[in-house]
Amino acid sequence: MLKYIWLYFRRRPGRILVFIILVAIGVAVSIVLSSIFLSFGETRNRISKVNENWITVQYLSDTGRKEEIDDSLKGIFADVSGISDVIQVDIAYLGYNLFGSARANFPVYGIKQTDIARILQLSQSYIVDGSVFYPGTNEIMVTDSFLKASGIGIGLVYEEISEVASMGLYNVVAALEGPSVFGIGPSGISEGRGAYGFIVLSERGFSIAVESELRSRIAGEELKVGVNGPISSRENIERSYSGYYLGVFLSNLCVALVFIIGLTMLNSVSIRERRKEYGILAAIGHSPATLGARLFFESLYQCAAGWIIGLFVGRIFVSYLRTRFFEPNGLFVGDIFVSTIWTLVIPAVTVVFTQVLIGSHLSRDLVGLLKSSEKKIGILKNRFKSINFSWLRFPLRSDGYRSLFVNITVFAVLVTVFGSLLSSLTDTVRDSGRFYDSCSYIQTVESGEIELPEEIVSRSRVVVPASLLNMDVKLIFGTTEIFIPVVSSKYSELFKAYVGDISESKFYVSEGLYDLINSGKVNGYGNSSPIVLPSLDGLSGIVFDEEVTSEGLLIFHMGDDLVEGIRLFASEAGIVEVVDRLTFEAKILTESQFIDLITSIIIYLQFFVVVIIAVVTVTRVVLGRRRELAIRSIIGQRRVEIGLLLFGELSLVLFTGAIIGFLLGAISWSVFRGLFLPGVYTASNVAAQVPLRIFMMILTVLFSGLAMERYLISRQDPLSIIER
Amino acid sequence: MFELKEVALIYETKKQALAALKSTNLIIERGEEVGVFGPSGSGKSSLLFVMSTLKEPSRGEVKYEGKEITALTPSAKAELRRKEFGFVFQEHFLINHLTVRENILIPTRDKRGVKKKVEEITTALGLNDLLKRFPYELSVGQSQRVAVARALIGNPKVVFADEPTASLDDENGRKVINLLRSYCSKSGATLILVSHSAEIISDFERRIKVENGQVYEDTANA
Repeated sequence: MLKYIWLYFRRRPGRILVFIILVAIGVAVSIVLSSIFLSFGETRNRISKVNENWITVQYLSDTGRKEEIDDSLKGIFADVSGISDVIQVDIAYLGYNLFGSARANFPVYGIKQTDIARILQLSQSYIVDGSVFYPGTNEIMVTDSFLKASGIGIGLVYEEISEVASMGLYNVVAALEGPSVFGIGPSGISEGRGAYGFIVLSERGFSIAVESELRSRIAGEELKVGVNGPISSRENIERSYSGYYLGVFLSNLCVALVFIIGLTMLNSVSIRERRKEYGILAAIGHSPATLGARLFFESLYQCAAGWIIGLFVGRIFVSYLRTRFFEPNGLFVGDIFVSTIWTLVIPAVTVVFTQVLIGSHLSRDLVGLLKSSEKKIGILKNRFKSINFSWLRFPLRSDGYRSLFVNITVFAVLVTVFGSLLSSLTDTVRDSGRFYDSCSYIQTVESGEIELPEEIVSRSRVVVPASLLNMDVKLIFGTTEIFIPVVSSKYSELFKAYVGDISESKFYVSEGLYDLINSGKVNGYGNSSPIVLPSLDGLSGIVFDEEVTSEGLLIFHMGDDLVEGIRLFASEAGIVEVVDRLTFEAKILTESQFIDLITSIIIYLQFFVVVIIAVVTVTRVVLGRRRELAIRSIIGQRRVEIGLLLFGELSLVLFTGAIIGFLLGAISWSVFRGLFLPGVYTASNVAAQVPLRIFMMILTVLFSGLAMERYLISRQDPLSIIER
Repeated sequence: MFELKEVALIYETKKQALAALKSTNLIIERGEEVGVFGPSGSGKSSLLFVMSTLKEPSRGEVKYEGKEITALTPSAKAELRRKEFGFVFQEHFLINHLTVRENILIPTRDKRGVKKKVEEITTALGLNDLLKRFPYELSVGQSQRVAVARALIGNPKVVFADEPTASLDDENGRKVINLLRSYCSKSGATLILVSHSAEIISDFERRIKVENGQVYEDTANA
């Protein structure tokens, strides 16, 4: 059997190599995509992991520590058994940008100098570089990975409690290394507005019991205090990983589909060309079972070779990514063992599909197989005899273009479905900022009145005191933050022009946001039932409340120029928060970074596979019709005419396949959304770029096919072809 | 009409050079009925290919209607073949996915009057009932008649026939030869027919024997 396979390999080395290389690329790409997704999950996991070592009890305050809450908590700690120690901390949360896949909040604990050694020991961390901070300063220690993710060295780190980065809040004086991701600073790091509380250490084996007890006691005393410990840590890890596991599954599914379809089509071409060979083998005494087994092992060996090479190449790429992408971006490589095993799907399903195809050919009668020859490939049956349009004759009367047609249809479906899926993720970020297309929100970090310059006031439609309600919207991979302005009911009249007739003190939302809230995809929402205002766009909302602590101003402008003007005022006026159109443009840039990367990988991959298969198919069609083309040439058809004929046929096949594929894709996308993505916000049914991508795919295939035809025809003497 | 001067056709391989035609000189006048015969490998088909622009001679001149045709561009050669020449080969060389009618129409570009022409020619060749069939639904004899119809549809001034009867039985072979001769005598076209058998062309106006790549005999029937 090996001898037979070796003979086959010697006869068709090019095609076998293309097949093996395609399997290898599919496997390698799957591993690389998995590692990218899992690195985000792993990094979030490490941030959550800090609460596996201790329980954090914290409350928010704008005015520093609150003695009454501290005293109540100390009282509770004294009553709960199993607590071994309590460290007083204040906490600053810094944004940890996971390469645009969404942000994670990175805690920095402000503690007393004397507690540094304890907290390091508990978290199995150690100081790797720099010197320890000093009390009374804004110096902190953060992990190496955070420094890399923030793109800074030991020196300065920016605070991202709010959306506007304010440089210079903290000096990083040392880096930490360990299994968890967090930072340490001196006591008083959150002085003013921030989070305050305690790190509670439990006796060995009591952490879960202590966390539960603390939760119930704190709830009983109606304190607005949060408790994070091993239980919530586990929940966090599961929640953060689940999105990335879905990403791994979807991206690998997409890659697997692309490659399985492509490889099976490649095999189908090969099988059709070898029908006569099967016939001869059957005629000299091979039973269908023996023949089937022989061909099974043939495709198995090819697939296995491709898989092993793919694993090897994939692992090398992951190592490369580790040094060039993960580590420089502060990411940790996750466990890719399961996704490595998953890559077996590509060769395994291809082998099965190939075997099904082989089976269908072997089930033909012996004479039928023997009569099959390359010359007759493409002739189906006696049909479509009255077609006057020459471009349609070969495509309709033969099955020569069938694999190309199926190929382009399937890929148009994939481009439509996956293109729309990936675009829908950036839709959420973009549309969450729609409300701010016509207004800007500014706010001081510390409470205080903002005096707008006359120039801004005169160019504004309305200026209203407001605060912001922050909510998280769940995406497929991670979350994104939306900002809902909260305005006093007494100003509701002013908003009639913008959001319709307001008569109640309620939460008004756009239809998109209403759907998300109802499907439980929004965190941080605690108001009564929202009311839909059809005039609100995207994921917008506005809250009218009886009493609003005026922290900032909502400025509705008349033109875009004011956006820059307000920004300029904000930076000159000192530390202020600004939420406006530019905030969301920046968010789209950073948060869609990851999606853009994945989209590019998948789209280029589809292009690559479709072009390879199309070139193989077109070559096969042209080679199968060499004799016909030679006859045409002999009886006086010019090269241009023959080229035009093939161009017309190819264009018809490709465009028809693409249109059918696009329509099927649009239907599939609607079904897919309904079944698998209920509640996920998608702005458009099908992404606008999809038709352009499909068109580019067709052009690429068309021109590579024509180039192949031209190369094959122009280099050969027609007489030698027909005499062969 | 045709004038060949010192025409040679040499097939060169890495190891050797094989001369299919050696310094051949020949003149064929318009309307002549020429039978070319000789043993296998003698160079008779090469002679036909050189005259019909399907092969470019290694040296020498081939003139058609006083014009040198070997130096024409591939497109100009194709145009010449389409407008002036008709071809019939030993195998019919029909295109499998085209019907009989579509195969016949391949060389025609101007569709005016084509319907009548197809009707005339297919009636003469007895193909009227076969127009909507595909080549693989025809017998060998029927296929060769379709090939003849395709060769004649463009009213060629020269008909090249390379062993047109080799794959046919005697009766069908005779029919095909008669069809070609009848067309040429009526239209005044030149017929250049290649055959390995001298018998088939025994009553042709002119018979040329080719041997070892050279014109060995050139005789005319009285």
